[in-house]
Amino acid sequence: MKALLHRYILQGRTVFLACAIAMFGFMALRVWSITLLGSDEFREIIKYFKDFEKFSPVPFSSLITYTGRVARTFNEPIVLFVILTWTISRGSDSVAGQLSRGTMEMLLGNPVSRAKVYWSQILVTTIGTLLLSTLAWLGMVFSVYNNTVEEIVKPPSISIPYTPLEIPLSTAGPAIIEKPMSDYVDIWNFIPALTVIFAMGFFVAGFATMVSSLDRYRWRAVGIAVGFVIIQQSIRILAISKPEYNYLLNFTFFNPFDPEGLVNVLTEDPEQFWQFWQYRPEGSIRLSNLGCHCLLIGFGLLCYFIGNVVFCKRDLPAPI
Amino acid sequence: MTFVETNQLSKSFGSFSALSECNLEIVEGKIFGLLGPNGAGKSTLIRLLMGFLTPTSGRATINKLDCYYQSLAVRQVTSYLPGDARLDRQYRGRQILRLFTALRPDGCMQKALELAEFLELDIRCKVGSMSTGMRQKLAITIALANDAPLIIMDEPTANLDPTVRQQILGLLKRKRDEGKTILFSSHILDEVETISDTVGFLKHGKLITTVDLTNLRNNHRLTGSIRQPLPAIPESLADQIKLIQESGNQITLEVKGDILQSLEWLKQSDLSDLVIEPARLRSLYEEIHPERTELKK
Repeated sequence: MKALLHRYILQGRTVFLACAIAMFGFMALRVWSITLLGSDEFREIIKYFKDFEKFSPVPFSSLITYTGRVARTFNEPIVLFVILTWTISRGSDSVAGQLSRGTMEMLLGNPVSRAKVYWSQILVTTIGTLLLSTLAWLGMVFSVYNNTVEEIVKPPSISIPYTPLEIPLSTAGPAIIEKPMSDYVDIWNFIPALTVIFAMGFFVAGFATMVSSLDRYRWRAVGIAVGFVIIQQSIRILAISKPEYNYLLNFTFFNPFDPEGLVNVLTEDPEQFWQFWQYRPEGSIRLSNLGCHCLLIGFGLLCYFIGNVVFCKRDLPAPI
Repeated sequence: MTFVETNQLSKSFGSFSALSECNLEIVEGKIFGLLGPNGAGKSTLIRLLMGFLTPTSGRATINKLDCYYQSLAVRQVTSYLPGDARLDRQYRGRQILRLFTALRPDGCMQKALELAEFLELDIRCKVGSMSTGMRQKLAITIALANDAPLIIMDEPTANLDPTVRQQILGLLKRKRDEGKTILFSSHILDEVETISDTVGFLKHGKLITTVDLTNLRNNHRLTGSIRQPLPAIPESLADQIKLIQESGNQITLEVKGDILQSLEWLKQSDLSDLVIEPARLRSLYEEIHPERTELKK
């Protein structure tokens, strides 16, 4: 097992390093970019996009806060791209990759069970996914502790009751002060974003591994996995575009993959955080922290187990 | 004791029958050579023994262990070299040897290094920069750097130069002398004949015959020119002499056992330009694959 793990770590290290640098660097940069625009300015901008609120997993009101804007970074396409690159590249390699390269036969000529070959790769892929998710969080933490945000402090004033009037007590204009971003953002609130990125990666890796165990060509396994992700994203877009298509959300893994939503539940409604469903004030129901994680991890495990059964029973074709 | 046994073993891919009702026995401590043209079913048979393929029907056992259902236990007593041995190209030779010796409980890095040195293999090179022959030598080193009682090799000497080929055959003989059982396939009749104790002939997925080479080595093939028809073969020699081929004034006979009596009989004919050579495998191969012999001519 140790030798196998060592082999798969060596095989995946280049892709992992590239993904790790991209993930950490992007998150640090993206969170820094938030500091360029104060919350008040952002509030002004977002007014013009009110019609697009339905596409947002959280209400715009929560996006105006620094916490909401930082949470949004975990759902950026680059973050998705990095996680998908790692999980699909490793997942597709697990069986079809080794069969297409012809190295599987030489490996299984030794007293190593197919299950051991299969699960040792999954272990490496899973640890890599967890590390990448943690690096996304660490990139955010790095930026939060190394950046400041500007806050506009208005001069003291008195409000006259029953009137909209405010009388300033000083002739000085509003003051701009700089404060550490960490004063506004609690890094521990983003742990659900980290774990749900991991859970999504775990599911996609499971799907890619399952496809790989059914096939003998890696390029085809990659194609199927990428196609699946695109279809799933299209379903999500369609589902949120019109209320009558809302039911389609039940058929896409991008529904439980909701880092912003989970951070929002934790900060706004912590009592419902550890539940499967979240009951919203307007009467709607959506997946809560437990629900999102259970679905993604559960389906990921299901894919892995199906892949294991297929791989352990199938004929191994000779190298082409 | 029989170490490898197949019983009515068959494998089909759709409507194509790659191996059909193969019954085979390989005795412990012997070298078994598997002969046959491309597509005869040699690799399919070997891959069934390794548990890579599910038999369509029949059963194969190694050391009384079922090759499919107890594949892991089978591979513990088997060392295997695939017909097209591919290794991770990004590793260096030494890394590959370390990996594969670590995968086997009986793997020995020291033995691997000694073999690599014997085969003049530069294990500092990356596999990707090795020549085809070097990669084959590396794969052979992996397959022989352990103490498995059965060695299965699918065309081990492909891509090797004649010197290394001889070295490999020497190594296999040495393994046999240590008590190991060896099953190997090849297209090259000479090398199969040189080291095998028993040979199996496969054709169109069927095991046509198995031959004990100790007996075969007593046979001779006589070729010569003749103008008059041959005299009738005397009854006492009927079991020994067999007319293999007659075309124009050329004849080819195969003689089993003592050749002197047959030569006495041939004196009665006007046979000239007589060439006597050990019969061995070629004659058998030509008998089994006459179409290929014709094609060659």
